[in-house]
Amino acid sequence: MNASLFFDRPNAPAPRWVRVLTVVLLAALLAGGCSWLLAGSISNWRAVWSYHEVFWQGWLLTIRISLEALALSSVFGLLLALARRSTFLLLRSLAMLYIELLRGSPLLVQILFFWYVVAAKIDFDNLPAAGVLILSGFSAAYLAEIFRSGIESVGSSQLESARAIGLSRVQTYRFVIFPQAFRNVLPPLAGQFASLIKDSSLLSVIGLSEFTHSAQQVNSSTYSTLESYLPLGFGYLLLTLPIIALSRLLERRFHYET
Amino acid sequence: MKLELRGVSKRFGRQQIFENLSASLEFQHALVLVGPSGGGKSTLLRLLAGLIPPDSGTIHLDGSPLPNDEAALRAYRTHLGIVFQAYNLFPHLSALENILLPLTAVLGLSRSIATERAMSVLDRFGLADHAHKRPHALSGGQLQRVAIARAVAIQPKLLLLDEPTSALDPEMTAEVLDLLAELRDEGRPLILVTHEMGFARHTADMVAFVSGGKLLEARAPESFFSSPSHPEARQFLERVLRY
Repeated sequence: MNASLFFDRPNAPAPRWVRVLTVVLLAALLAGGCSWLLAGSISNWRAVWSYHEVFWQGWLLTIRISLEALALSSVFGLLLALARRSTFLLLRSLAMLYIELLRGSPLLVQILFFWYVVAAKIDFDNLPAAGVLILSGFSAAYLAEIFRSGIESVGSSQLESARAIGLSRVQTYRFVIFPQAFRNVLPPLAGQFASLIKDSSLLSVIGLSEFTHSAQQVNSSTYSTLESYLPLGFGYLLLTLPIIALSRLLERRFHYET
Repeated sequence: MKLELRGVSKRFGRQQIFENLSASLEFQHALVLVGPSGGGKSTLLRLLAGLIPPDSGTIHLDGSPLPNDEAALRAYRTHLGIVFQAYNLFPHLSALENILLPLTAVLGLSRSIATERAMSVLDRFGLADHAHKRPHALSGGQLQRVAIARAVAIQPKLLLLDEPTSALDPEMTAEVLDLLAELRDEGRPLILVTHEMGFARHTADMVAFVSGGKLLEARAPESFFSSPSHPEARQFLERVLRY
């Protein structure tokens, strides 16, 4: 077969049957990989299946923690972004310090530090709540930078125009900046939300019985590594892929030329 | 209208635009500011528009001074129609929504009254068919006419225009100038910064020559264009009217 068939250029798009063939090839590759991994594992699946309730509970907890952290970090991230743009130097510096410290250190270290050091010091023993807070605090630092770049992507002529027609600062944000910034931040925002869901897996190290922790427990009870961790991977994909698809949809919906 | 500048100074960083500028200008309908680029015309217009405050000195319009604090300046700006060279329409809003925003959000008109008013202005400007188009779908001349419609719809006390035709080709320039002449004829006071000398001559009832941060000359257009008294103004006119 001639490899040049697979070229897909704007002025010479690949024919339809080549596109179909591409999908078939990728599916075959995936199926081949799976069958190689799965060979002779039927009995183990039965053992793991008896623990499906553990998986289910873990997955639900992961969804709950992710949703809560998603909401909390969005609010906190937006406030941080505004603080980062504040003309009050102390507030702006504080926001910068926070953002750089949390973006500069590994999440795993933050989880260990805030749970075993900070939470222990203030006698805070609500593990799921601590997980949500740590995850939100971490994600908010990234969201703040995403929101800030979105706000700053709105040109200065737009701001002057908003001033010229007499909009107040709050109105300028509401009617001019946010609607335009929202469209610009959608792709990185979806990426960050997907990251947050995946990052919640690290909370397993402090014994929070979320999805990854559940899989680890099933594995240690059944000694079936593949059968414990393969559903784990699928479980996360089931959450992240829709977010990315939704962002594509919204992006198209809010599309306009500038 | 009477426009007075009393000891106005303005600098941007290290660049001094105006130093202790004082002048008094009276005009009926249209004051046109002309002069070389970088001479301070646009800055003067922005000062008059209350978009930037002077570092010192005061500006008086019909006897009353412009406020200094941002809140009062904002209230002052709501009575002005300001048009920029680059149109500055909001790209995420349709032509109609661009006009509605100041009417509803700033002047507090109800949506139905605002829509009625906006549509009547669009209609008059021959833009009714484009009301629901976003800026990217409009030509430069149409964009600038929508921008003027946005400024006119608030029924401003004064219209300020900063080189509204500089980014347009000759045909679109004519489109916009026709509109401005019409606005002038109905007696709406306007202050215009422009390089269109022919238009200035026919439309202005006062021409002010601004160069090097100074207001060197202000006269009726006939006498300014036929016999400018200041040597710099003479030089400027010779250069721009040569071809």
